[in-house]
Amino acid sequence: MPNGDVMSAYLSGEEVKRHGKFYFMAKRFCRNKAAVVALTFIILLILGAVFCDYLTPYDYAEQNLAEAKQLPSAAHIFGTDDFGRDIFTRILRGARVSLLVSLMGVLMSTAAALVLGSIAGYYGGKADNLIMRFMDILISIPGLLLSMTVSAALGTGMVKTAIAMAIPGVAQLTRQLRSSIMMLKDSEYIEAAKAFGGSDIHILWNHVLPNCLSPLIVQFTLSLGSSIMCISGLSFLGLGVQPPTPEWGNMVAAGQDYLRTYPHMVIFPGLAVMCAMLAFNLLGDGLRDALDPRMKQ
Amino acid sequence: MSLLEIKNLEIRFNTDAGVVHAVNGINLTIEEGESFGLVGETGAGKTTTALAILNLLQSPPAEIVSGEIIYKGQDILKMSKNKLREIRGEEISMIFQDPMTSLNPVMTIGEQIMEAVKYHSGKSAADAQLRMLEMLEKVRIPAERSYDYPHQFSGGMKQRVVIAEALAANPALLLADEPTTALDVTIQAQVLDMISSLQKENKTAMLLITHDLGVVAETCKRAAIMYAGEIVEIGTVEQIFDSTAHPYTKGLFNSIPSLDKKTDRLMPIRGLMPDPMDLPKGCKFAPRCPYADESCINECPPLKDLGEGHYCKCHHADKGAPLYFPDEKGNELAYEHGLPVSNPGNDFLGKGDGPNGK
Repeated sequence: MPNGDVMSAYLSGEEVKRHGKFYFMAKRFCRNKAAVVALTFIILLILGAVFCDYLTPYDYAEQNLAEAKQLPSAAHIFGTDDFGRDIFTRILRGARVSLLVSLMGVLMSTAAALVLGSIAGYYGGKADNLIMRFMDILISIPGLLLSMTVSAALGTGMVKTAIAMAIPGVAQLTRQLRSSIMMLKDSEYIEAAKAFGGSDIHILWNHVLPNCLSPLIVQFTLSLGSSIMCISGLSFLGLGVQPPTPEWGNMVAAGQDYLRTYPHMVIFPGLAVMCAMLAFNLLGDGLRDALDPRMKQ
Repeated sequence: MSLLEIKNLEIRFNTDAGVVHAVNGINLTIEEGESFGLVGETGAGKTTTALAILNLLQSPPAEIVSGEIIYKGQDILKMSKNKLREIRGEEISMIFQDPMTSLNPVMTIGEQIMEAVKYHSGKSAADAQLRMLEMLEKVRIPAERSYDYPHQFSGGMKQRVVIAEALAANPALLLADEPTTALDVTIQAQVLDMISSLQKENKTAMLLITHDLGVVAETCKRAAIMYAGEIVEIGTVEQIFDSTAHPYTKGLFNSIPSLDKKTDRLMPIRGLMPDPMDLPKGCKFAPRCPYADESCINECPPLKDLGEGHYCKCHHADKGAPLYFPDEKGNELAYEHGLPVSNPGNDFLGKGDGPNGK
């Protein structure tokens, strides 16, 4: 039995360090200024998307032809579109769709990739061969084309668009995860965990996957960015979200006729797509550094 | 009944380049609470044997051709997956060679030690925590450091953590696979002392794998010398060191430079270990052995009983006789400039009295 002193030293250590993991992670994260800016932007975007109905005096769908095609001004900071709708309101409202659908899509593909990649990487053999050949087929089809096909087959709508987004993403994530797992599964600490009597599931979940986390998180946030791009692409082509629901892609599509005369109708939704993508990529970098305990404090 | 009995174990690896004969019919027994040394060069099949005891060999490429590993009356090689998991950690545990890589870098060391306890049924989280603190205390690591990650520890401390982890579930048999090879000499002694004292305290049997005869002399009661997948000599440490019988073992002792005599040149065993894909037909050591004759090349020698549990796999087994190696010119040369040496092993144990002693 450990004596009283040891126990109290341990407990005092526990008190100090109870929130230690998250404290140090946050500290490491905050040192990356770009990631902090990106996170702030994403939080603002999410808040804007949730409370867009209360943030501006305009409605996203109500037409006001008297104020159509106005350049940015104090009343309409991003100007108005060809039906006189406030572009700022529509971008905030559009973020709802972009963020929600891309998050749903990437979560779906990550969940599928976790299962498939773990089986393929950890067990290998026939299952690995079968899964990876299927992934090769998936990866050989251009992502947007595949999304378009699935979207055309399933029809439009948020969940269906999310599924269409998720399918091409699975292949990338599965490959990534499989290669990380294959690299890790022969390491000595995995062998040690086996030697101490750990079960396969336990070893996979507690030892292998946490070590694959940093490439996975980077891939996850990169996919978030690229799927925002992809939804915009689909909506731009008329396959994703249908008007009058605003979405950045269909806003660009609607504005393209006026590109020469009223470029702000394309520039602002386009900037929104760009900033969101950039923010997710920067956030990914920051998270990777923050989650790795080997990084120097 | 012995705690562990390996009978006629033969393991090979089927690789693309050919069949590697890693372990070729070894027999050994380990009694409860006993420390047993397994000595041999790199590639002699020591680690393969240890992994086979835990049934951790990846198959394919590994294939256990024949043999039994009887632990407490049950054959480990025939056990179900679940039964194996019960044995691993709680009954038989292992310390791996390199502490730098045998700890999970993203888990605190406290969590890792607790895990080894929690794998086995009937232990709550609180029990596991108590046991973890107890183990940390035993390997002299402050309790508050249990929240730290492996990269915050020095090499010697990491190996102590690994020892704590391996002994946390109180196994009956500990396999220590070159536990000190990755550490520097001063830390080696410290870690070995710790393993020995914990092993004695818990009455754990130990299979110590090493290529360091000094470590065996210090820690073990019995030892086996392995060469090219075979045990060439087995006996108590006194038998092996005082009345060395096998030419290979003698060669090993000869190649250790003496502390108190001036040595100009080391006395290596000439040649290399045979390619495990293409082993000699007769005695595996024959191509390097100064005593080898016709019978050695054609016929594999049996394990000869030299009495009192001392066995030697050699046609010319000769207890305690000195070994002469011819030098480049064909002159016979014992390890000190032609002076006959009664038995170099004696000298190593500190029992001999110089080159002409006994």
